[in-house]
Amino acid sequence: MRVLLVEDDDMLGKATASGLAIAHAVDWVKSAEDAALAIKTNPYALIVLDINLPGQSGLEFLAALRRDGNDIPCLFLTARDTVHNKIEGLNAGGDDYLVKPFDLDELLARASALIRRSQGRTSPVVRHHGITLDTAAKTVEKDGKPVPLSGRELAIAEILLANIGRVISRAQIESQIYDWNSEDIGSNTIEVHISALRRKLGKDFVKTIRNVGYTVEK
Amino acid sequence: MNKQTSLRRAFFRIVSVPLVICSLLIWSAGMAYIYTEVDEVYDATLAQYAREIDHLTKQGIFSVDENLGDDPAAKPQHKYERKIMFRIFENGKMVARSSFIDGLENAPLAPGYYDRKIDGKRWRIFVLASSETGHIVEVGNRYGIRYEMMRQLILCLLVPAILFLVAAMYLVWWGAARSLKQLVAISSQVDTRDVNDMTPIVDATIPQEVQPLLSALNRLFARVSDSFRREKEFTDNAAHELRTPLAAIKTQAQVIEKSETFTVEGQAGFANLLGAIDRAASMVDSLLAFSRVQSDKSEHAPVDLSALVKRETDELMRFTSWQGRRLATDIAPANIVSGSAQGLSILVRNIIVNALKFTPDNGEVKVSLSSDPRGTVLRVTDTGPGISDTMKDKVFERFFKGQKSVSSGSGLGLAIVKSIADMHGAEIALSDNQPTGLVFEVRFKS
Repeated sequence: MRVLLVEDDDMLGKATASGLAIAHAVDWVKSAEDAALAIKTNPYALIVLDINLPGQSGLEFLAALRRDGNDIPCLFLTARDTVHNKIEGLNAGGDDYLVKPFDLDELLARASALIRRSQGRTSPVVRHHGITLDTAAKTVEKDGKPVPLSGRELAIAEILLANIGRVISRAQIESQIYDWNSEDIGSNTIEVHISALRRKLGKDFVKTIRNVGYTVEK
Repeated sequence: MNKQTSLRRAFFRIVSVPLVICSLLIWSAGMAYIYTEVDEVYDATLAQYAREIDHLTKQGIFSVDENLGDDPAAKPQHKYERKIMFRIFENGKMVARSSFIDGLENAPLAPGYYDRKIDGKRWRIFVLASSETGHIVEVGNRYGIRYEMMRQLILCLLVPAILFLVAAMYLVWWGAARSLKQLVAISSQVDTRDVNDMTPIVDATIPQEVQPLLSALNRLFARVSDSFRREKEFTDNAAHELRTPLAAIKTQAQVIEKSETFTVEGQAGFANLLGAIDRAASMVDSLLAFSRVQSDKSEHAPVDLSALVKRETDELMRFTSWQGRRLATDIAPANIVSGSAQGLSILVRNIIVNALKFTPDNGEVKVSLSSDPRGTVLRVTDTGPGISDTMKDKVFERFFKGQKSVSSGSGLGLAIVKSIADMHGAEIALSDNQPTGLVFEVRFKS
């Protein structure tokens, strides 16, 4: 899934971005203004937001976002850990928070949980016609047997399985698995990954809707 | 050593010394006046007597007899009789004299006033030479009579003067205390203040002379409070600022840990690195907790200390890192103290965690809560190495670490405990456990 990280500190931003990149496509911006722009142009599954930003604060940015009716999940990072600070963040529209310094595994787990819930799921495990995808453990099984998938393949499978019965365009998939730093974007890259998925998980796993996109049928 | 000055004594001295000197001067002047007046009155009386006697001899009221007054059996009718005399001379011959007078030459004196010593006593004598009868009349009295009169007068004046002085000095002493009472009231107001209360003292009844002192005191309050606030802000900001780079270090380390494969030594080194980062992070947490505890202005409310201690010990027993160490509790129910529940939780937790830290594996920490007429006592006893008497005061200093330092400590835990205890007016006492260990006691006054 694609995640937007808003963090003004260079060191922490870089570290957090590479940490999140273990499980997600990550775009990193350093100000609320840049974040507002990025949100308009890209479909993010989650915002990881630092509260203390230069210019517009994270809280103001978040409150404005919610006023505009955007309900994208938001996990905020704060150096202030009083109950008051936490309540303030949650009331501004935050869904969850972490106090710096945080544990990377905890950040990844909370991020996944927020994305999952926004998709209407509570369990990290998706089961569909003999295929089991564990979004937390990043593993896939077919008929009880583990199937090794590459990172991109797994990401695409996750998107498709999160949208069972809906048609997802190639562009939609691209916008969710690639971030601004991705270099493996080619005209037929998605098709290559889809055929790999068909090979590993079965021909009928994904159906191609010509000129529209792909779908996993109910 | 400088002798402490007393406003009351100084005021008393300033007023009473001139008062005594003035009184003495007035009294002395009065005495001198009385002295001359009495002298004049008595001299005038002598002249009057002399004329009276001369007049009587002219009338022939008594016959002139030179033996008059020589009766040896005669006794004075009044004690003053020996102190008054007269003699009458006719043609240079004494014709009459009063009794009880000897030792004066048997010849008349020239007219006028005399001071004479007769038989060692001082006399005042007036001599009248009558132009009509040709008699010379001598009358006299002893100075003793005048002195007696003066003594009586002096006493009559002295007693009220002394009474006046004593009353005046008492009034000055009492008045000084009374006007200084407001100063004492202000100092007791300052004394009973909460350590964190830096609001200015406002007192409409304050005398205008004391107002500058009060204003200076209030300005000092403002300055202290300002620097106190700045120090807290600094701690607070520094701690928060530290959190971001710490988060960067930690996250970056974890990213590397996840993306690289390490040798066994490398893994151990990495675990050490992450441990150090966590320790730095917990130190920042302690710093923030300390600064927060110090600025805790929450209202004190009744807190069930028994329930609170129970909750904290239950929670701590769940920690696996203390496995092998037992936590025994003996908590008397329903001990209520007035305080901040959050602060008291930190206090209880820090004391017990400290005890657990220094207790060897399989050792025991005892937590007891009891009450006596003087208050409620929380007692945490460990079986660790204990603390030497010289170190017992130092453990409450910020960043103090004992010689047997436990690496995970921030050195702030007990400083926080002390701060919270102070805020609750609770007393801390450290003593030795037998055979080894420390007894940590916190007494909340009832």
